[in-house]
Amino acid sequence: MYGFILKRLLLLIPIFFAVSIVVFLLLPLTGDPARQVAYGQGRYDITPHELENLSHQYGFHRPLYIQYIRWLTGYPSADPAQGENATVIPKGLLRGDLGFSYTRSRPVASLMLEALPQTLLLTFTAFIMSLAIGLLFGIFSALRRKTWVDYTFMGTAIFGVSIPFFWQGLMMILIFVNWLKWFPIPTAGEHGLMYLILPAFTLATHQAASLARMTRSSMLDVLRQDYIRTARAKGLRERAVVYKHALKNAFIPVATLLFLRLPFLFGGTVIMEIVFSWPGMGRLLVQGMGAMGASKDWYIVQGGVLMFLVLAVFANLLADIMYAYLNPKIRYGEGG
Amino acid sequence: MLDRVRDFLRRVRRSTTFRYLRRDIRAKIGGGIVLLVVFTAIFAGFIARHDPAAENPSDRFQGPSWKYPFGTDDKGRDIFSRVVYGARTALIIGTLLVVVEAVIGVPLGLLAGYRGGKVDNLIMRLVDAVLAMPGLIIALAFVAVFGPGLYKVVLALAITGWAGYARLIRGQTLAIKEETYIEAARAIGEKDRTIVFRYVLPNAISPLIVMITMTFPAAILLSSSMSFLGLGVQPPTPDWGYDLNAYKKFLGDPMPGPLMTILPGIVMVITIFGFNFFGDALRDAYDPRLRE
Repeated sequence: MYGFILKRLLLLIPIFFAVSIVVFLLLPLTGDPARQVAYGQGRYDITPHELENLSHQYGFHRPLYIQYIRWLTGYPSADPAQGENATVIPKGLLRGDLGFSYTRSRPVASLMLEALPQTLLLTFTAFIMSLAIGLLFGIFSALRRKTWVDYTFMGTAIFGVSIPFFWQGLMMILIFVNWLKWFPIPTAGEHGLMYLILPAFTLATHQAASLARMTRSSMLDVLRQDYIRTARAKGLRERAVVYKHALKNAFIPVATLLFLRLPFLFGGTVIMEIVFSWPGMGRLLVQGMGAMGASKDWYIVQGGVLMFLVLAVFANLLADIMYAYLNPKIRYGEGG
Repeated sequence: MLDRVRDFLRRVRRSTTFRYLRRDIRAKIGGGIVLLVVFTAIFAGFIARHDPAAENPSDRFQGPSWKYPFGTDDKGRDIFSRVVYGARTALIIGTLLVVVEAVIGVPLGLLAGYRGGKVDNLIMRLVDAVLAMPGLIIALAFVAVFGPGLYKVVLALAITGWAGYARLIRGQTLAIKEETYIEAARAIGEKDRTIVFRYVLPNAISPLIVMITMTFPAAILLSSSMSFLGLGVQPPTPDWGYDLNAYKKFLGDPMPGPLMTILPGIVMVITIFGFNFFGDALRDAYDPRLRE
């Protein structure tokens, strides 16, 4: 098991480099980074001469591979003789510098660190909620197979995955904030418990819907197995059969799916943060991309995409470990 | 040509899948909705009663009426017409995306499954990596770099979307490769390319169709989410997500206000639901293990 985990951890190094190259390239790929920065600062009438200066300030005149090495490690450091500005040139990703936000006049790393806990809180809450709802619905559907309970639950589930996040969020606001007034109006900068419930629940419903479907079919699969018949035959109570023998085995594919779907959940988090003005990384990122009338901020885009990709990589790692832990065949087989 | 179409339809009607589908309530409801939406998208010009972009300042913020079934927005545009034309946009995006994803993913899946060994290893590593990435965030980054617009949204979503197709087709290919008829084809000296495209691919068509039906609603969901953020389809192309973003500021207004968000949203949910429902039935129909 430890060998398996160690192997997976070592694999993170090449993945990290691949991710860093993709994220770094986002800005050069726009074709004219200096102009992008100028527009982000609101200087739409910039002269070619000023543009040239700006390009030197940010070090965009250097060859691409030098820019990448500098972005990653901070070397070579800014050279004032070439007109490079030490405050705006990133001091190296490996040293925890993601660049300087020119729209918010703050280091992107500190913006991200401020927003990260909020994003994790929202995603984690949604995750737990979806687990509770999804398992409950899935198990009951499987046990009451082909009854109205099953049909209602599964009908609801397929309806659940069909509702766009953003529209469901808007409806939640309309019903629970505007009409019933149970929750406060989502406001930028507010992030108490009362502000958390609606976006987390909206996010959870989708995840719960697909979880319920997965749990149901996995349960049905397991309930057909011989060892369940054996368990019943030796006179175990139905409750023990279902929750101890069946659920434990049915949970393996569900658990893997749960973590494999985390990247999807992050995508949803981004939308929820916008709809509910939740001060997380997604909101920061999408605003940096120029959504909602904000100015584009490429260092925020790079930083935000990087953070989400790293989160996704870790979610995937968790899924792998979880799968190996729950499934001894993998643990002791060729994978270990 | 017409004969071949008729022949094809007859074969479809006689197939076990079709017979199974006809008994499935999900297929009836879902299929009905899908047909209705496709019909609406094709004949949008006849169904919409107004030009979706026509601004009519004297008719702003109207509630639903015979003249304006869903009411009008802040510029006096007919919301129903915008929803009808939005269906066309959604279906175009869904279709293009599915085609692009399949064109990339299917050959790679065939290659990985048929060749095996190092090629397989390499392709599947890539597939796993891509599937682990948050597709929406990658797509948003792509649009931020290369600019928004319908075709770019399709490309942006295809960056991660093809991987699912590759994985599915690879699995199918692995199974089909072991069949006796492939052995027979090899024995009579068929070329690899012929075997893959004439023998393997046609036998993997059913799961491919199911996959297409399942990714279609997801495509509509994702693309409209991007438009909602303002990083997707741009005006003047009518888009559900874009409009809902524009109308959400009237949620707090008295009554016709919230309706501007509610009604188009319901149409959207029903559309996606229809595709999902039909896709579910289709999957069960193709998979004999699930039939009882």
